[in-house]
Amino acid sequence: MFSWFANPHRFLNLSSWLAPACYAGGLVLIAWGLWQGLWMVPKDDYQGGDIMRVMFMHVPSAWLAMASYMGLAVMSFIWFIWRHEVADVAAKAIAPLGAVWTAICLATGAIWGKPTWGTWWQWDDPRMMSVLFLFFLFLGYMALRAAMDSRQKAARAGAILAMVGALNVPLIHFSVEMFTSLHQTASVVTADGPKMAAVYLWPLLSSALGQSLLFAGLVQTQMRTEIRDRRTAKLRAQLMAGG
Amino acid sequence: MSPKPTLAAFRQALTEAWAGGAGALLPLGFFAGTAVLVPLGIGTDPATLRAIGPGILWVALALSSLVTLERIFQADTEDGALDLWLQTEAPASSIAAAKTLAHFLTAGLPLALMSPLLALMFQAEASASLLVHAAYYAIGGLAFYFWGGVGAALSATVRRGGLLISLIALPLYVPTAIFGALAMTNTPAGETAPLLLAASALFALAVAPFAMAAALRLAAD
Amino acid sequence: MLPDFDKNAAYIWAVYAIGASAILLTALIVILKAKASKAALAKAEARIREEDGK
Repeated sequence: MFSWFANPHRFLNLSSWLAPACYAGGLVLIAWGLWQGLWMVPKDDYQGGDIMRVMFMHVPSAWLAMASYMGLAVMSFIWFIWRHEVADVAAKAIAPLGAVWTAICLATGAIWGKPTWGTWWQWDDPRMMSVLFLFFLFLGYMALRAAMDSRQKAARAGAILAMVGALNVPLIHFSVEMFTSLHQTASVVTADGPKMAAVYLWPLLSSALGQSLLFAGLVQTQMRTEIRDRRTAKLRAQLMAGG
Repeated sequence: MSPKPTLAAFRQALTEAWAGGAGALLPLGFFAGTAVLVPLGIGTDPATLRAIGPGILWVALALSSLVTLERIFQADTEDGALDLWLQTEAPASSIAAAKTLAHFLTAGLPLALMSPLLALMFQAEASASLLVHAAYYAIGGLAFYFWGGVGAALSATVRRGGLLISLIALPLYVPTAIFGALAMTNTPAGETAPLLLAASALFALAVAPFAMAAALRLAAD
Repeated sequence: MLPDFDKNAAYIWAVYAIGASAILLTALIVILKAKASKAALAKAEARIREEDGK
């Protein structure tokens, strides 16, 4: 199944219509989610009033931060085992975009925290800490790739690190939960949990799916750029050798 | 499969670490550089120092691993020793583990053994629990050194790789640091934390050698 | 018409401003990089054709 996607031409054909479709679908869903979330749904006084409206930005970014690291690890694994070049192209494209969404998650979480907890940075919140370490994992991955002198080496080193990181993520999350369980904090607004009212659920799902589609579109565009760049490098090498 | 190349790697790393760093004086000097600056920076209030002492020691241990490990594989890559190690019949993972262990024994373990003394300087009460804590530092240090070794092997071909190792290793140190610090508290979590600390060290011992081996094969190419 | 929020309005707008500008900036960089790579590839291909033509 993976080898079907491993062909760069097949990927280029597929993404030539899939990427625009992702952008269009993503923008529509985000627009509907925001319109509902900011204008239509009533504020929830049990969750601090209007401030809960930031969840339509914050929760999708949290979901994407985790999903993108998982995607990075899966792509690294596929590349490491089967050496499918498209998987490495995907891993390279996911990392910086995942880091951006992780940073958005941290920034918006801090802003949500200020009126809710009274502090920008809550060390006792396990989700905040886990996302912070996820951010460092992304940074380390990108720094390692950038430091390698060849594409092949960057791919191999990056794949090893992403897999080691993915093995550690559950342990990091578990340890952080244990660390924060020591201190009693007021329980805060959470999007997870079945109790959320349906009026909030649909705009939230729409925003999350919309941001995911936008993310998927950006990943595909980045991958197309990378594939083109590799082709350009090859042609230039040919010219050097020929001329 | 003979254990000889692995033992040779272990001995070589041990001599290297001992000769290059003035032996056991190195961790002492390192500690002076990090931990002793802390009271100068934050003041000498005994209650504060007692509260932060164990944490400072964990940080010093983590930093010592990063500083020590920066060149452990880099020198071997530069002088070609790495290619020789990889040609021996011993698996690359056991050679990497042997080298990492040797560096832990010369730089990490001394810090753990000194920890009761250092804890007293940070105003801890003299008691047998300081010796138990020393064991925790030793176990946690083992995990730090093995994860740090992964970062060191990955950046073996990178010039000025030290900063890169820190960035790579930091998130991997988190569970060990948390369990280690919790183990020294008087809380319900503090009772299970020693087991989890040991588990995190075992996890590092199980996973890191293979990651290091893969990274070293990459560095040798 | 902008919605009227309670006392925390500044925080809500800050969240959306940061999120929107980060995403838009990222999209802009991605698009510019795609354009540059298209141009570079077209140039390299043209030069290859030129060489073959000789």
